[in-house]
Amino acid sequence: MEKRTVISFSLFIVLFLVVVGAIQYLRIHSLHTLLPNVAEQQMNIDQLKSDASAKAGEHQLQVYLVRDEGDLAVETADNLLYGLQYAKLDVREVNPGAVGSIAPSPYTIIIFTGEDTTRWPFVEMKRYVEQGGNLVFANRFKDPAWNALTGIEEIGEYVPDVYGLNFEESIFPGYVDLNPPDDLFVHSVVDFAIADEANVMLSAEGFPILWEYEVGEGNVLYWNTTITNQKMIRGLFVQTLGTMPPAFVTAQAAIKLMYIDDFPAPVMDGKMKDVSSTPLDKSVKDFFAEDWWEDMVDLAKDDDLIYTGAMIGTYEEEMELVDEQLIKRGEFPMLYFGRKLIAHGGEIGLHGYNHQSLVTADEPIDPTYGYIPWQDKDEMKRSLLQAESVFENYFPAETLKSYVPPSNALNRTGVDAIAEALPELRTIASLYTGEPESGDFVQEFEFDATHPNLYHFPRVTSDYGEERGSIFQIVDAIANLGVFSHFIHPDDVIDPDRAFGRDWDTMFASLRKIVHDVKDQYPHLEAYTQHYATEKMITYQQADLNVTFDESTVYLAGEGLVNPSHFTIRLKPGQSLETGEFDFGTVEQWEADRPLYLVKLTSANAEIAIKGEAQ
Amino acid sequence: MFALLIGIDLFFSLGTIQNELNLFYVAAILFALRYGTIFGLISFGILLLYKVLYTGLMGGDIFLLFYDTNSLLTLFYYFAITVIVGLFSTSFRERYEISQFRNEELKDENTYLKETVDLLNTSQTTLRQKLLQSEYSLNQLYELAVSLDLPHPELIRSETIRLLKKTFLASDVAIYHVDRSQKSMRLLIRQTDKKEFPQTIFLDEASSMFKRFFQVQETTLRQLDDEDTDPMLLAPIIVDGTTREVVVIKRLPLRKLTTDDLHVLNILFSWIGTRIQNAENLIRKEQHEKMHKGTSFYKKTAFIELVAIQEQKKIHHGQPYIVLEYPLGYEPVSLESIEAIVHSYLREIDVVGYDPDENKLLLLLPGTSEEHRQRIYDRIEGILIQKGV
Repeated sequence: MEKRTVISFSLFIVLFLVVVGAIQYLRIHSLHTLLPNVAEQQMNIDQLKSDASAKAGEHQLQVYLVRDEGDLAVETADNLLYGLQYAKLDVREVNPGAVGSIAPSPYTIIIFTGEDTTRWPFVEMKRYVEQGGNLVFANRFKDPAWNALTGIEEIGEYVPDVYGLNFEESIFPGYVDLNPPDDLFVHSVVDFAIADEANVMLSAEGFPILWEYEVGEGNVLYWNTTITNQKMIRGLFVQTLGTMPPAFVTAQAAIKLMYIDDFPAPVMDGKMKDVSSTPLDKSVKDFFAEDWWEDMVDLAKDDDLIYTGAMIGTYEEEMELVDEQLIKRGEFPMLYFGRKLIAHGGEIGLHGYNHQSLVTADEPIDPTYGYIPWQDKDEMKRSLLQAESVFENYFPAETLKSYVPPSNALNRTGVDAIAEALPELRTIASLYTGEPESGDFVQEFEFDATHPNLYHFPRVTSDYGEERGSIFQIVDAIANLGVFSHFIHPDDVIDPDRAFGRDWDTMFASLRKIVHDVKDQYPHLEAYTQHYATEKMITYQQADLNVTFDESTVYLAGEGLVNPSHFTIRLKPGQSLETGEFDFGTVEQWEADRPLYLVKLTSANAEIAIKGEAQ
Repeated sequence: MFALLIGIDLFFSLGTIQNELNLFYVAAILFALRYGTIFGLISFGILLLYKVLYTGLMGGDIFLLFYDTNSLLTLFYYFAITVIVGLFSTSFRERYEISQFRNEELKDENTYLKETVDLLNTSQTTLRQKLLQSEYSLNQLYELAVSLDLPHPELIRSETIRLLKKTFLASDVAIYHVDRSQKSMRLLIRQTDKKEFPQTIFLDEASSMFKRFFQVQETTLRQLDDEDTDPMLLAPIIVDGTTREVVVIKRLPLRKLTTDDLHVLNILFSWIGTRIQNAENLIRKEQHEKMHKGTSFYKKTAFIELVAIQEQKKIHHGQPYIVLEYPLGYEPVSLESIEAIVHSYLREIDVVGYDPDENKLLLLLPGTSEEHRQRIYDRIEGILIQKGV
């Protein structure tokens, strides 16, 4: 080699090393301040422009919920009321004494909750049904006097602890049969003998759980169970209501959310093969950076997901780290995973300074967590502000807009602390179903009663599993209001107690199947970050929907409707809607035994013709 | 090329630059391979810039390009490959340039050697030609010597003119006799019919070229300031150390003559004098018997031979002559005394004969026109009468 080349080569090697060194120094210390992160994705929540001159039909569906005083009645009424409202059905609560005055109509549904039949006006209800009204008994009861309306021919004994739920007909796409020992539903039923004319729609362990029975011109639905007080039946309850009126419309918020809890968060040391059943001879950090995250990115691309992360500063129990230490500890996860999360359109929410739930010693929490209770609200606020400072250091242009309680445990002290420490924070996302007595912060889709700027947006399901109960809950939330909100923990793969011996490939395959099925069966669900999911849900809930009918037409109109808006339309057997694209949007048929359609509105008004005669 | 690739990438929204393996890097490496390190690095820089801009344009995080170890390693990897490939390319190019330089040097050297060989060949050819020419000159000299080896001056002069015409391509040539006083020259022989050569040239009236010639008495060439009518060359014919005759050449193609030719020409001029002197001596020796004893008067038969020669010259060269006869009144006391009287009034070229039978004195005057006959006759007669001959 020539001397000149050797000198050139040496110079380039030196230059190369200098460049590498400079970049390494910069990337570790201050490059992120020179190159700010991509701004969080901005999503438009448009509204459809309403038209005052829109046509309306003669009939309007009216649901009456008869509120009683017994515990089961109250719980059921409260539960169903949320479900009916989420579906944007026009529901009114009435006392048992007032229900007799309701005029019978095919577009009127009266729902009785509880089992205190003595307060219910049988004669008026019989006349109401015979003249075309629709009646629903949401809980089982023993009263032979009502057999003429319920189709019960013989009343047996109460049967507790009946497990599962089986579909005798397909009511909504995606529901799966639940069988013992699946304990999502544990019924208390009555061992009834029912008329042959009664059409059983649901059953469990051989007991009829739901059947329909025609009386005169009207229809009766009888729920032989107590599970209607549970959230995970709301969607099914709403959809079964649709079997009674000539046509039935429910709304869909059409939201899809995927949470990654504890993300970004400090990554533990060690090798994967030493701490998990994933036999990789690489560090946990490299696994999450190279395998786990890449898989998650692929999943998001393939199945249309946007991730919302929930960051924590440290896994240490005590709040002993000063800001600089906390910032230093969060450097890699925040810069690497945090910026990637945002670059892929995601959102970083707050999980906490550490993984200690914001509850005081006076508030309930599952003692098995072993958390150290916070002294008071001020201490909670300090921790929240310290966590926020970490976030601000790495993402100075962003704000924390969502909060996820560690272990989903939270109480009023914590909510107050959040609202006061982080006034710009908009959403608390905890659990849709859970055990409040164990400290679970169980929520409805609603504003906080104390802090009107704070919205509760519960996560419905979690984990990498394909348990049928979890699938049922996913489908039920979608059937109710069109929301898929799922969360996972990255560290499940390195926690033997939560991985249940599964390696990452197995867990990821399960997760992929869940989200792939959701995308496949419910393509109308749009992916959002938590913040924009909240904004869409608020807009959805605040919109006025006016659904009217005549003999052969469904009229949809509304004010403040989300653009686009989605609805389900259920018809009687023998009837159908023309599918395809129309001026108002699109109509497509869903898979169900009775005619079920998904309508997307891009206009605030729609007249949808019904074809065929009801059989 | 990169503009085209980038244009295609953007137009079709391929996002190729975001792939870890893509054609852009391959192109940069090929650039480095073809054009060396600098262009390779420039190409890499363009790609890096495009990657950064594209990432920004697509809403990506530029920081992660450098923070993400995989992304950074990919960049470093391609950077290192580009540098290494570029360095090797540069190294090979340098070696190629050095080889090319050496090759050019060898070519130059080869050209120089070729030129030297050509020069040697030319020199050799020239030397061979010189040698041949030298041989030719010697041969020519020999031929000249043989040609001039004639027994009579008149023949030598005629041969001289012939040689000048044939060998030296001269034309309009004449030979003049210079009188003893060196004040005039009388035409002995001329080659041309033209009247360019007067019978007599009086040197006082002649051009400066003649005067310059007589000053040096060597071969003289016409110079720029000489008159156009002057001859091209004047050459002396020296007999007994004196310029006896002058060769006058009006036209001589000097450009066609080599130096050797000129040398030969000079030798020729030198030889002419020698040869004439020899011929005269020989004639004198031969003609001694043809003359009356103790005089230079030819006997009648010899005189008639000389007249015949003059007649030939008249015929071939147009040179006039006259013959005068003087009957003597009585038998001369001695021919020696008559000779002493007559010769002082005759020219050197004039020939005197005596016919004892008729007691006549015979005069042959070469170069004298018929028109002067009477005047000369009268003058000579007057002298003879005056001297009592």
